[in-house]
Amino acid sequence: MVGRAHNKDPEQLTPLTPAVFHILLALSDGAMHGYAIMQAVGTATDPEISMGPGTIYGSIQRMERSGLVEECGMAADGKRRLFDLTPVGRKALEVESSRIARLAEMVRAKGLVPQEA
Amino acid sequence: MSDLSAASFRLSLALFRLLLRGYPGSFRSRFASQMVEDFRELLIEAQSRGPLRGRVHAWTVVLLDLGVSLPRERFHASRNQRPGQKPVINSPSGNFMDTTLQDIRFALRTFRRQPLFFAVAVMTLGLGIGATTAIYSVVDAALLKPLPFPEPERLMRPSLVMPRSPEAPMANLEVRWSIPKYELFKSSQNAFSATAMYVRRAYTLTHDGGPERVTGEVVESSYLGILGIGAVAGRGFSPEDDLPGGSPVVLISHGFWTRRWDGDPGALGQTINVSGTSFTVVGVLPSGFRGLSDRAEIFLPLSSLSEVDWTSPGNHSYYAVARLNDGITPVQGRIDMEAVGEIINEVYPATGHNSAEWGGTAKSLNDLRADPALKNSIFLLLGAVGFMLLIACVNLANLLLARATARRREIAIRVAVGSGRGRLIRQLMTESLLLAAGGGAVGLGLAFLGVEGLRSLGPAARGVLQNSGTSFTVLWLDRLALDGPVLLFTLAVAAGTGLLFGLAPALRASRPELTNELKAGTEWKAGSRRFGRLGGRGALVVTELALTFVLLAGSGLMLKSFLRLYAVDTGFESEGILTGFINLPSREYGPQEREVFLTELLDQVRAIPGVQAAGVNDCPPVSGGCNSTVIRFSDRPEVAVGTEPELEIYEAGSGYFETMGIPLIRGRTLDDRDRFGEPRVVLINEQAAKEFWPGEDPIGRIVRLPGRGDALWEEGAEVVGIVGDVHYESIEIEPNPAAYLSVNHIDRAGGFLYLFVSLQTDPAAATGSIRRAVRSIDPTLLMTGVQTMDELVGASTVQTRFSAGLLSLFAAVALAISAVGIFGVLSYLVAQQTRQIGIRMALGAQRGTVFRQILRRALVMTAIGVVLGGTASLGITRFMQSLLFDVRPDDPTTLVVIALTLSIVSVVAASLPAWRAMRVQPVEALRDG
Repeated sequence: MVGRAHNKDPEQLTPLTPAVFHILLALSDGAMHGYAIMQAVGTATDPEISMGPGTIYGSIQRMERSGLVEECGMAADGKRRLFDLTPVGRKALEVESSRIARLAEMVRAKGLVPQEA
Repeated sequence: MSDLSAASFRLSLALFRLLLRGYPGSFRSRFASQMVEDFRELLIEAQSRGPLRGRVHAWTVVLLDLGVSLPRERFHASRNQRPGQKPVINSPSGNFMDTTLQDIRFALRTFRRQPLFFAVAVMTLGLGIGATTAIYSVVDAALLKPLPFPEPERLMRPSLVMPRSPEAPMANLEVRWSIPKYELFKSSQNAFSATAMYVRRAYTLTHDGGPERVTGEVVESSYLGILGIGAVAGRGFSPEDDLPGGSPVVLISHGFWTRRWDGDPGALGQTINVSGTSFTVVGVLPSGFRGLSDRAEIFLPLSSLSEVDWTSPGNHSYYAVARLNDGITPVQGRIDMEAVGEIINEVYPATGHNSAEWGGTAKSLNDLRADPALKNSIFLLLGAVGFMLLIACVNLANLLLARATARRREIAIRVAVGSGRGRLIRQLMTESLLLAAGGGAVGLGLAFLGVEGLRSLGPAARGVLQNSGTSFTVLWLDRLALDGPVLLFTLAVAAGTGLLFGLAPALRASRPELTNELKAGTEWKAGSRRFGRLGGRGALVVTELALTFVLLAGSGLMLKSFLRLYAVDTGFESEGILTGFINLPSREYGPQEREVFLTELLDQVRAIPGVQAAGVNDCPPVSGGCNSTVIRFSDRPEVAVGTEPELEIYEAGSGYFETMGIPLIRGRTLDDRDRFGEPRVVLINEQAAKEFWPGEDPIGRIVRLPGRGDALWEEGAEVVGIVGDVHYESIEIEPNPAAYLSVNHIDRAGGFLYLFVSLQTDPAAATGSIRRAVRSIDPTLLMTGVQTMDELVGASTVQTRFSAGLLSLFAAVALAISAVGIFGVLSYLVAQQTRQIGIRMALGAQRGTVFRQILRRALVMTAIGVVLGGTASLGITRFMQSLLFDVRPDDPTTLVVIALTLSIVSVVAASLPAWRAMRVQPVEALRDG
């Protein structure tokens, strides 16, 4: 069963939960299977608080329903399902990223974190 | 990858697959295979962390993930369910609490219908949880609970380390302080904010009621401050009380205050006569505090010490306790003490040992409260009860599986009317957790009895424990209690066991094949999965048997050790011998007065009806040993100081050897010739003869004992006799070379002597007469510590006896539980196959063949259990090495006996089901089908 895309406005999907954001971020490099997403998320965030398989697939299932990602075939080993961003997903990632970037600017402007060298 | 590692890899995957069944069906069908692949990759990748750590890491990741994502997916799944699929048991208004109460009510109804099952399950668990809790309370009190002082982790015991040298076999042995060395330590250390010196001493109090023996401590004024103890009435000690010539003051324990003055504040300012000197009571200490020796009733200041104590650097009698400075860790404290050791070695170079050096060390007080042998015993028992609990869980899982099978129809119906699988699992787990709660309650009751029993052993145990090994303190005995941490442990154990024995049966039972169950009617059709089902239950029984084998191995080894200990020839007769000690004050008893007293005493005691013989010695057998000294031989070339051989030395009187039944090998024993002023003589034991005069006759040789600090002994004495070896140290330790001197030839005044009396009559009856004899000669004297030699020998084996006894009890319970397990599984098998057996019999199978086949099943399970258990116990019993005596941890006889015992028990347990199978009437079996 592949989740039906609802083709929602990406603006309405943001702000994204951290899990959804990290999965989208990982998939922005191209299609991946679950374990690769797990690893990508693990290296991007604190490796000790990595997401496990249950969280990844649960999120993917719901992201499919929202139309953010889609299954795009099997990996070369024939065992693993591959997932990729939908256009809506890519748009949502962009919207969310610029929202975060704006937030980061605000935080910097307040002098709450040191300026980058 | 090794076989073992590969097996554990497969096991991990299988377990993970099992856990995935908790996810909703739609999720599982799409992602389960993906998740298994992911977990496989995770396991392989985690290998780089090391085999065990890798597994632990991978499991941590997936378990944490499971804990979050499983409930979430179930929640989403239930929300996405179409109205028609909604579980009917979940009433629309039902919230969590309602459902839980409903589950509990339902479970209780089920139990009421099956009271026998309920009772067996709760009792089995209760036994396991009770024993585990009781032993854990000991672990908590003895090893975990901090000492009852403020910031106990900052308290340390600094001590000297004995001079080390190749010739000194006792290297690195901690020794106590002498005052000069302690003073040097105090002025050169940097790690501690305060230090205090203390020593345990025995005193005789004289008052209207006659003399009384009490234990006291001589302590530095800083002692109470370091321990954070303040006087509840009056004052503590001040630095002036440390100085020689200070006024004679005494602090008393709360117990002593209550006993002597009934808690009257007027006790302050009163005087008590302590071993001949009057001391003024200036303070009362808090209830329960008996000093670090855990025995003190009175506390005297350092000013009560004699001149000799202050000035002799070689008088190593004093313990020290110290509180760490802020910011200093115990490790830094120890390192500082090592530096202090070097300073002490420079100022007081060790003599008598080649290239020997004093060292210093410090140990945390928390770590010192139980000696290592006791710690080992406690951990052994904890391991044993853990195994017992595990066996109980396995057995219960088995019972629940059987029950689940019997309830298949009920469950199938509930599924058919729309009960979700999660709901079913929840219901079944509620039952398991209720059983666990019942077991926990029974367990707490049993643990309470156990702890009370242990506490009632208190006074006896305190004496035994303190006389054993490093004998520091056993402050923990009073604190043995079922308190917060222990209750928390019980709760965790009960919940854990509930999950452990409940989960697998719940998962299995909630997955019925609907059509089959409903179609089959009351009789379950023997399907293709029959062997699979028995396989699972068979595996549980095999596990039980293997665990039981390990427990039996442990208890068998301890029992054998105990029997070996019992069979040791201690070198003396313990039967009918009474002993007690008498302290002759050095002020009144010079060597001659002592001789007069002893002659008079022995004459009077020997005249008591029923007394066969009587004698004295300064050291009782099997009680840890006493003094030793160096020996030189007049007819041999001189050897360098520090390389002389050593031997144990005893000061005995006439009649001692005859009383104790110690055989005379050659020459003579001590007798009336050996009086004060007569030529000095030496008796040696066989070991000394063998070691010092191999192939020669020692009789008539002159030996010198320069370590006695007495010119006449240094000049030499004649060896006049050889007597049998006696175990003075302990039953386990072989006797060393030893020499006996006559107590009448000892120049030193006073004496601490043990009287030994051999009796024909009841020892208890003679005690009074012997005590009266002592007091008729000197009313200020007291014979204390009266016990029979049998009691003394018993006390020296108490630890082994205690461990062996408890382990055997645990093993017996485990064996019984396993027997029930085998019986249950085979009964189930026979019941399931009644029809099949009937058919086979109808087709001509012999009854004997059927019987043998059932037994063979039992034996196959036993054989696998024995092999697994045997392998495991070879690995596990190694850790028991230090507790065993004269038995190897892999003792083949023990293992074979256990394998046989286990086989016999399983055959017996299997024979009833087998007999039942044999009695199957083909006609009836077929008709019922």
